[in-house]
Amino acid sequence: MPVSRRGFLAVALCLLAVVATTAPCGAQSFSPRYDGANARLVDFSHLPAATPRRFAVVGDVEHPGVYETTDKKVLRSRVLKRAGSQALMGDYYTYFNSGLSSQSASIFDAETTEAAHRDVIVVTAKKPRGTPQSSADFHVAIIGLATDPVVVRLPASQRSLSALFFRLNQHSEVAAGATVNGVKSSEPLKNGDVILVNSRVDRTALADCDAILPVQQLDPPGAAGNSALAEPAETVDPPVYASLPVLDAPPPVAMTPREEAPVDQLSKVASAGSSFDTVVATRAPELEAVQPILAPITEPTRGITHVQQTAARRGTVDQADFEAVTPAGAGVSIRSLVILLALGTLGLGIGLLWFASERRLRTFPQPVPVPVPTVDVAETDRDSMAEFSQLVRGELEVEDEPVVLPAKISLHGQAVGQKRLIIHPPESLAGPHFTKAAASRDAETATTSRQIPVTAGSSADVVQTPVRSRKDTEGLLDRVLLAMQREGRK
Amino acid sequence: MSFGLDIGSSGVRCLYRAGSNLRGRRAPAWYVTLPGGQSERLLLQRAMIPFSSCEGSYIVFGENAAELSRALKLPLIPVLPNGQLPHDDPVGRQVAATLIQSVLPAVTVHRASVAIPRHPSDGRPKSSTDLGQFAVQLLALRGIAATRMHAGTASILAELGDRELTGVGVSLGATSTAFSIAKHGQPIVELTHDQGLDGVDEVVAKSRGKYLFDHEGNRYLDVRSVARWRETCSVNLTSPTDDDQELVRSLVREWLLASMSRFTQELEAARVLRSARGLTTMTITGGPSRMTGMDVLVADAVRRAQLPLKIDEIRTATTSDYTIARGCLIAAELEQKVARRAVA
Repeated sequence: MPVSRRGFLAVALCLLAVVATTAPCGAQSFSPRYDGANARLVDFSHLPAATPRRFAVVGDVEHPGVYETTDKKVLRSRVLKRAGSQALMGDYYTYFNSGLSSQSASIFDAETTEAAHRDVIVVTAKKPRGTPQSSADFHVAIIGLATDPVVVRLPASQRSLSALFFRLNQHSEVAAGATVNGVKSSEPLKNGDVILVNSRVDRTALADCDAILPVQQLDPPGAAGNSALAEPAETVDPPVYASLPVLDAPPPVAMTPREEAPVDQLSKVASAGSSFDTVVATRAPELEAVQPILAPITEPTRGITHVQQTAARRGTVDQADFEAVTPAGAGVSIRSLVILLALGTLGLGIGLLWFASERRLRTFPQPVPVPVPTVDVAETDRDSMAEFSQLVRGELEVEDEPVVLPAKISLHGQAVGQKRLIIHPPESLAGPHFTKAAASRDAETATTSRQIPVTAGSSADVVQTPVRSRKDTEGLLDRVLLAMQREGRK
Repeated sequence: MSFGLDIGSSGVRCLYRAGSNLRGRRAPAWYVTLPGGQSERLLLQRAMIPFSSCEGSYIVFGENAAELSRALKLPLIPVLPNGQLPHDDPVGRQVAATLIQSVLPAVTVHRASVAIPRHPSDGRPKSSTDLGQFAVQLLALRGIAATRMHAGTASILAELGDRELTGVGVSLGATSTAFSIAKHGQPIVELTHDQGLDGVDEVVAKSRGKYLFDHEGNRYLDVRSVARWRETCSVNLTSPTDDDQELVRSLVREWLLASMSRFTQELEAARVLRSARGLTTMTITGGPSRMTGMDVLVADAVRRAQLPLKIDEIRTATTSDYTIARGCLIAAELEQKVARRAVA
């Protein structure tokens, strides 16, 4: 592979690494940021600890909708009664649960049958016995749109699935994948239909949809029936916003003008409605029961601006769900870190590419020829080594060369070497009382010497003389040797 | 070019290369002095004996001195008494220098290795009688770089070539005994004992009354006559035939035992036995080693002194007088090769 191609490949890999590392950063940085100005404040602290059970009732009832309760045991007759069912003996109802196939049952059985969580009950009367709240509207139940089934009120002019999901701010794919009463249908919708959504829906877009009926308590405190004002404030699909924390929003910079909204709408968005004060003023007696619930959220709502029902505002709210988790300062630092990491990766790649190209393209100088020893030198060394080996083995002959010692040279000083070789005879002890003994000893020695005939001969003969004079015996060793010699001769 | 120089108490020997052979020069290390009278001068001139003069005396060197000593009953004066330079004897020092210079090769040389009776590594402090320093300075005056060589190590280099210059070398000298252990030519330990064969000769001369008298009546111990008798009678140390040989044998045995005992003590004190493990060959060099049965006595001394080495073989050097000088020559050539490669 040539160097240029390898270099391009390295650069491409580096750029790919940079793009991969900067993509999340860009997606986060280029999207609208949450600034806390338009936050929706929802307080769930007043909710009971137990998970409420919800039931949807549609069909021939006076108050279709979703009802919830925390009771452990709920009979279907109770739910039907709460929805204003006037079914008589002989009527029947159909119930759905979580997209399962529908099952029909008699009204008579409703007295003994417990309602299951997320049941959708469709009451079908042989003939209608009450007038609906609005003759032009009808209600359908939708399963899969939210965590729990919801009931949607639709005008008579919107009886198609596409119109329904357009009203719910959903894409057309959701309408295409939905089924009506368990089957694919293109027929106009009618009251009491149960629609099962099989596609992925944008649940956050449901927050501002007014067609969805709010959740009602199965047993309202005042037993006021299906009063819209008696409903709790947080009527929008709670599980969707369950993770939304309580924020201390900054004071608004510019207050938008308050709009007079219908009472129904105010009840649906009571958590952030700007007309909350107006509602409180006009319907103070009715809100007395709601005051304990709304009290915790009254104070924070003062600094929160009105939520605009526009796409842009909706998008802002959409991002708020996850952006609120990460502080703004931390996002900047992470972004800087990611950018630094990307730049470092790019620099490292460029450095590796430069190093590879430099090493590959490096031109080494021609090696200087090392002077080879000539043959003569090698032979000389070889010969010298051979001679040295002979020397070590002692194979070389040694010729004695006569040495001519120097003569007629004048040396300085006196020669004392010979004097140091003189062996002096042992000195006799001098003294007045030793004089006689020494004199007699000398006379005896002279006599002994005269008695031994000294023959002319070599000095060896003198050595072999058996008797020696005392003059020759000096020192302990000499005396011992002399004694040994005498003993040996005996 | 290099040469090996062996400065011994009995003689000075020099060995150097001459073509494909070796050439040796040697001179006995003694001299005689004659009174500086007219008659002595005429005698020396008529006998054609080269002589030198000093204050009041005539000096004769070398073999002429030995012949003159035998004829005129003059004591031979050792140039290196007890293996040392004579102290308070300027004439003796000049004679030593003259003798060393006389045996040097006539050709130009640049490097030498000098073996001396006493090695400076013996631990003795340097003094005016340091023969090695004296020889090195003397050679330096002639532009020769000389290195000192232990006689024991030189014997290993000369005789243990087939053992990769590894083993134990014992040099038996006239005034000292050198002991060395080397591995691949590198010395591990070098020891010297101040006792040699001259001590044996002195005892024999005293025991046998070997004295001579000069014309003034002064008495001298005639050690030279004992040495001459020992060399001519071929003393067998293993089976002495008479009392004199028995005496020599017993004295040599005691000398070797004393030397080996001292080597054993110094080896154990030096703690080099771990490095000397595996050395099994011992070589004996020097003049006394030529005596018949010397190797047997050495083996006996090794056994009795309990030398902490497993010696399996004791070699006696060849009869050549240049064994130590050849070891010095090997060392000098090795150093010359190393220096040449360093320059290259």
